[in-house]
Amino acid sequence: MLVRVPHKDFANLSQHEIQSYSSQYEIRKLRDIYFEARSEATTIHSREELDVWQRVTSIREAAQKCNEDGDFESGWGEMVYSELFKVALRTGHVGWKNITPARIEPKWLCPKHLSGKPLGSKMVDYAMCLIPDDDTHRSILQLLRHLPEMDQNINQTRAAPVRYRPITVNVEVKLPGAGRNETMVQLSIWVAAQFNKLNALSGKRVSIGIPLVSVEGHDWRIYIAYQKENDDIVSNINSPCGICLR
Amino acid sequence: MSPRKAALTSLTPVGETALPPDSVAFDETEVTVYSSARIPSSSSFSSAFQLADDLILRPGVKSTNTNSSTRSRSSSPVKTMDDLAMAEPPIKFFEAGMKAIEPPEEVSGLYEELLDVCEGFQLLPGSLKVCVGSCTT
Repeated sequence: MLVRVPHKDFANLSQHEIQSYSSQYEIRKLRDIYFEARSEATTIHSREELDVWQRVTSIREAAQKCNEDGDFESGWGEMVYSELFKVALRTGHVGWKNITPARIEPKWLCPKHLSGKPLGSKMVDYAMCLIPDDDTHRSILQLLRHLPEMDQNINQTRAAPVRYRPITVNVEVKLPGAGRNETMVQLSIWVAAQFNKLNALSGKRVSIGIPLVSVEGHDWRIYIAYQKENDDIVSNINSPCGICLR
Repeated sequence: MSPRKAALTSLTPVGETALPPDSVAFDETEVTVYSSARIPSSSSFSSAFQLADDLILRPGVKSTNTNSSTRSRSSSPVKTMDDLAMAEPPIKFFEAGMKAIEPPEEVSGLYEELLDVCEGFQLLPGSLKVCVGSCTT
C-alpha cells in the first residue's frame, strides 16, 4: 500500500520530498508519472472499450448469481472464470487452459521434508500460457529434441494442453469460504516444481518471477513467486496485493 | 561424452543435495545429476506414480484418459504453509511493500506493474468513467 501522508503536510511537500519520505517506508518508488497533472479524459469510448466493459459487468453479475445460488466450482468455472479469461486474454500471444487433471512429473517435485522425502504432489486449476509463434515453437522443440522422451515437455507437467506451451501464470480456484491456506500450498508446490524444471532446462537458477493467482469466490489475489538468490532452489513467494472483484 | 551432452542425456533437477551427486559441468554452472531411478523409492508417491513415471508420452500421439500426466487428485499430508516453511528448501511468504523484503532486480519490474494494477493506476480507460460511475452508484 502507498504511504498515506497527512494532508496538511502533503500540501507543503514537493514531489521530491514526498518521494524521499515514501522511500523510508516502502520499497516501491513513487514514479514521476504519479505526479503528472491528469489530463481530462475523453468521454468518447470506442466500441471495443464499451464491449469489454459490458462483458466485465456481465461476469460480475454472473459471479453474484453463482455466490447466491451456492454453485459448484465447475459452475463458477463455466460462468465466471472462463468468461473472464476470454476477456482478459482476448488479444496477444497468451492463452489459457483448464489443467485441473494435470499432475507434476514426480522428478520435479520439491521441496522435501527434512527427512528427504518430497512433500507430495499438488495440482492447480488453470494456467495462462504462451501461444508460441512458429519460430518460438520450433525453438522449443529444438530445445527438447535432444532430451529423453520423458523429459520432452516445457513445463513441470507432461499434460498435453501445456506440453509445448510455457506456463506464465498459475491459477487455483476455490469456492467462497474455502480459505486460502490449501490454495497457497497447492500453488507453492506447483510453482516450485516449475522452477525446478526451468532450472534444469537452462542449466542454472532461472531469474524470473512467476505470477500466481488464488481465487476464492469473488476474492482474487496475485502473488509473485521467485527463487531467492542465496539459496539453490527457494521459491519465495511475494504477495503484492489482493484484488477483489466485487 | 561432452559435459553438455552428458547433462542433456538426463535432465535433472538443479541444486539437488539429498542424494550423492555426480557433478557435471554445464555452461560454467555446476549441475548436480542423478538418474530418475535414484529417486528414493520410499518417497510419498504411490506405487501408481512410480509406474506412471515409466510411461512415455509420444509426440503426435493423442492423449487419452490414461495420460500419465493427468490423474485423480492426490491426497497429501502437506496442509499448511508452515509445512512449506519447514521444508528444504523452504517456501516463504511475504506481504507486499515491506521495506525488509526487496525482490531481486529481475522481478522488480513485474512487481511494480502488479502494484500499479492493484492501486488501480492506469487500469481502465478514462472514457469509461461515465459507465463505471453508473455501475457503482
